[in-house]
Amino acid sequence: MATTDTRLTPALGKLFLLIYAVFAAFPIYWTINTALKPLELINTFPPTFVPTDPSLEAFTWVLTNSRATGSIIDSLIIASGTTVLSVLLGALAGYGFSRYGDDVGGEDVAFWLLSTRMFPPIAVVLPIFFIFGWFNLQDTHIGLILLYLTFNLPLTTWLMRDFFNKIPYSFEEAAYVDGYSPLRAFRKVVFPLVRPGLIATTMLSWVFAWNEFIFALIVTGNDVNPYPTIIPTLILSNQILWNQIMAMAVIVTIPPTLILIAFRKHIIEGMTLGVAEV
Amino acid sequence: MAEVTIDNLTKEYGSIVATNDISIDIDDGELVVLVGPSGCGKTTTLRSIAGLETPTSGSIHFGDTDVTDRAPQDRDISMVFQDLALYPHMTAAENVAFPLHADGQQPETTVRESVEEVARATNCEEFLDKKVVDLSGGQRQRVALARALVRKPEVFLMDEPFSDLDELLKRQLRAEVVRIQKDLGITMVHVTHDQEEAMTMGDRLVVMNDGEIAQMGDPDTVFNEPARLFVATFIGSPQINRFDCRIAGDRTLTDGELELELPADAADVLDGATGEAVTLCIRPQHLSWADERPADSLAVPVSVNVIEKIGTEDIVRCRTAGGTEITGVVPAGALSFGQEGYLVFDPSQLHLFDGHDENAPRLN
Amino acid sequence: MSTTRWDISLPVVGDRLADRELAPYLLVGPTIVTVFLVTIGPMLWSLWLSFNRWKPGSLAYQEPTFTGVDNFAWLFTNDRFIHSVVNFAYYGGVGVFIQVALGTLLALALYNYVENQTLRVGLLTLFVVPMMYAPLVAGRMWQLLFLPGGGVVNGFLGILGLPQPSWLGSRWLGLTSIMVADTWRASLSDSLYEAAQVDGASRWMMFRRITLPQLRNLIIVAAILRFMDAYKFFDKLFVMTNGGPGSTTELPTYFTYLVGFQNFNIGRAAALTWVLGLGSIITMMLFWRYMRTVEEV
Repeated sequence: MATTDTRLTPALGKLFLLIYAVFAAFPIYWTINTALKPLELINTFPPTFVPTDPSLEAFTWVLTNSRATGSIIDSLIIASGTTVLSVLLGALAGYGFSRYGDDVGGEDVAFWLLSTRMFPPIAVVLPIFFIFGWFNLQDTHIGLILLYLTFNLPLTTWLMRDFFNKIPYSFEEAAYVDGYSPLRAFRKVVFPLVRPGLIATTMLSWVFAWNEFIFALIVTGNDVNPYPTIIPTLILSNQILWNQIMAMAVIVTIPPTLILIAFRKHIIEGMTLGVAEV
Repeated sequence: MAEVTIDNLTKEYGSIVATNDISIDIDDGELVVLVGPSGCGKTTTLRSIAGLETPTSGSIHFGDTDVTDRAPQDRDISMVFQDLALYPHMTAAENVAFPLHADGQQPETTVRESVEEVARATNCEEFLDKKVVDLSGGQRQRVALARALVRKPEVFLMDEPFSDLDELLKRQLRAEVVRIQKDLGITMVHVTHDQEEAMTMGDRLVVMNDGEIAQMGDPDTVFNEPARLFVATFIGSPQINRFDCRIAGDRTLTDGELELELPADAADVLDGATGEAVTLCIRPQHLSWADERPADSLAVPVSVNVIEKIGTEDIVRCRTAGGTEITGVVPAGALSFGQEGYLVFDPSQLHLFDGHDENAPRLN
Repeated sequence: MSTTRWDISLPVVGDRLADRELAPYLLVGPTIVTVFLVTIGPMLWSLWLSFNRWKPGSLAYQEPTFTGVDNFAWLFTNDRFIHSVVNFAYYGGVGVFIQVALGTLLALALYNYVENQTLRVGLLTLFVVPMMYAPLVAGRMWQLLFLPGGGVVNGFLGILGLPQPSWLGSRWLGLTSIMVADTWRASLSDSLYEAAQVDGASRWMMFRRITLPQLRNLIIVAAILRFMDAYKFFDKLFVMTNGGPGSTTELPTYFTYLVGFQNFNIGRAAALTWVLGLGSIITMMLFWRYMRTVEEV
C-alpha cells in the first residue's frame, strides 16, 4: 500500500504538471498562431492548429497603423512616467519607513498606505474623473501618470521598505562612525545593496502601469489612447479583427515577458509580498 | 588618542530612561569595559560616545573638546558593531580600506600600505581578497577589528562583537584585542554582558544596572569588594552565595532557617545597618569543606547534591536540611554525591549589604 | 540609472544631528501627500457624494443634492445589484477555492517531483508568463478560444464528437469560462510564489511533512488575497461577455461602472463604490488580523 502510494504519486504529480503546462502554454501559442493567420482561417472548423501559410500581415498592420503605434507610444510614456515618479517617491518613503518607522507612525502608517491599494479601482476613478475634469487632466498623459500613482506608489513604498529592511541599519551607522556623511554612506553602502530591489520594484511598477485598463478606459479616449483601450475597438463591421488584436497582444506582451525572464528572481520576491494583482 | 569624559549623561526614550545621570572618566590608553545585563544602558552609553544617540542631557568630551552635539562622522572614533556591519558587496580588503576613503583624499598607495599594516597586526592578511560572505566567523571578527583600527582613531568602541563566537575563539580574540590595545595605547570602551569577558579584558569595569552605574573599579576591587548587592550577584562564576537575613542578635543573623553567627570584627559593621534586613554573601571559592563542625567558625551543615566537574576543581551544589542551596568550590574528586559535612565560611571574605534590594550598599 | 536621482534627493538628511529629526518627514511626506491627493481626498469626496443624488446632464439633478441614505436604500433593493453580488459570491467562492487548490497543488508537484533545476525554473517561468498578459488581452484571447462557432475549445469537442456549448452565452457557464481565463492568468500568483521562496526540494519536502499547519496558513492567506482581487474584477468581464447575455454575468465592479459611466448616476455609483470598498476593507482587516496571529504563533 505504502509503496504503491509513493510510486504512484510522483507519476500523478508529473502528469498533473504536464497537463497544466499544456493549459498554460496553449493560449500563448494560440496568440502567436492567430496573429500569423489571415482572418478567414481564424473562425474555422476544424481549427487551423498550424498555419499553412504564415503571414506577417497583421504585425505589419500594427507597426504601420498610426492608431496602434500611437497607442503603444502613449502606453510607453504613461507607464514610464508613472514608474519614474512612483519609484522615486516610493524609494524615499520606503527608506523613511524602514529607518525612521517609529518617528512617522510605525508599521501602521506603512500598512495603511498599502491598504489604499486594496480599494477597488472603480472607487478611486469615479471621483477622480470629475476632479480631472476641473483641472483639465482628462485625456492627458500626465493625468493617467498621476492616476496610476494610486496603485503604484503604495506598491513601490511597500516593496522598497522591505528591501531597505533587509539592509541592517548598523551598516549605515558603521559608515557614519568611519567618517562618512549620511549622503555618502547611502551612496557607498546602501545604494549598491538595494539596487537589485530597486530594479525589481521599477520593473513591477512598470508592468502594472503598462497593463492597466479600467482607469485608461475612463479618463482617456480621444487624444490619449493607451494600448488596452484600443484592443476592444479593433472591430470591422461587426467582425472582430482577431489577427490584428493578437499581433498587438504579442507585441505588447513581449516587454513584460522579457522583464520577467531577466529579473525573475527579484520579481517573484516582490510578488511574494502579496501585492501582485492590480 | 584621548581621554573621554562623560558627565551626567541621561538618555530617555519617551518615558523609558535608558541611562540616568552617568558620569565616567576614561584615561588615555585605558580599556574600560561596560558590563551589565541586557537593558542596563551599557549600549546606550556606548552609542552616545559614538554619536549614534543624542543624549537627553549631559555632555561628552574627548580631551578638552565637547563632542556632545557632533555627528558621528566628526568625532574621530571607530566602532566594532555587534553584527560587525561588514559590507557584503565588498572584499575584506575593501572593508578595511573603507574608513580611509571617507574623505576621498587619501592616495591609493597610502591606503594600501595602511590596510596591509593593520592586516598584519590583526592576522587577516591571508583572506584580504575574499568576499565577506566567504569568511568564517573568526575571520570576520578580525576584518571588523582591522577596519576599526585602520584609521587610528581617538577612541575605539566595541559593542559585544564576540557574542556569537564559540568559547575558544572568543578567548583567543579577547587576548588579541587586549594585546593590540596595549601595543598601540588605544583608548577603548568595550561593552559586554559577559562578566567573565569583562573581568579578563578590562583595566577598569563599569558595572551597570537599570541605567545607572552600580560600581566602577578595577576587576579585583569589583570582585573582592562589590559595592552593591547587584554587583556581588552579577560578577563572579559560579554565582555568589546569598543569604537574605534579619539581624537576630549582636552578632547573629538568621535567614529563617540558618543561624549565622558572625565573627566579632565582621559583626561590628551591623551597627551601620539602617534596618533589620541584611544580606550576607560569600563566594563559592571562599567556602571550604569540613567533615566535622569546626570550633569557633561560621559553618553550615549540608549534604552534597550536585557535583560539576570543571577540571582541577569541582563545583559542589549542596543543600541544607531546610532546602537552602549553597555552592562551594573544592579540589577535584574531594567529595561524592550525598556526602554530609560542613561548609566553612572564610571570615575575611564575608560581604554584608544593607538590605535585600539589589541596590543595597555594602556595609563592610 | 537612478543614481543621479538619489543624489539630488538625499541632501535632506543633513550632517548635523538636529537636521536628522526632520529627515523622516521629508522622506515620507511627499508620498503621504501624494496618496492623500490622488486616493484619500477623492475618496472622501465620493463618500459625501454617496449621500447625494447627482446626475450630470439630467435636468433634475444637475448639481449634487443631498438625499440621505437614499442611494444605499436603492442599491440594497436593486435586483441587478443583488444579482451581481450573487455572481460575486459564486465567482469568489468557487473560483478562489479552485484557484488556490490548483496553485498549491502545482507548487507541491513542482517542488516535489521535478528534480531537474532547469526544468523547474522553466516550468515556473511558463506558469508566470500568463501574468504578464494584460488582463484585457488575456480576456480577448480566451474569448477567442471559447467562441461558439470556430473557437478552439469547441473545435476539440467537435473532433471528439462531443456537444459544443455556447461557453459565454449563459450565466453560470459564462462566469465559469471567465473563471477559467482568470485561473490561467493569475491563479498561481500567491501560493506558487510563496512556495517559490522555499528554495530547494528538500526544504520544501520538510516544509510539507513537518509544518502542515504552515501550509494551511499559506492557503488561507492566498485565498483572502484572491478574494480581494474578486472585488476589482473588471477587465476580462468587459471583453469576454460585457456582462451579458443581458446582465446575467455582471459582477459588482462592472455594475458600478455602468451606473457611473453609462448612466452617469454618480451619487448611486459612489454609494456602490463605498459598499465595495468597505467589503474589501473588511476582507483586508480579516487578512491583517490573520497575518498577525500567524506571526505571533
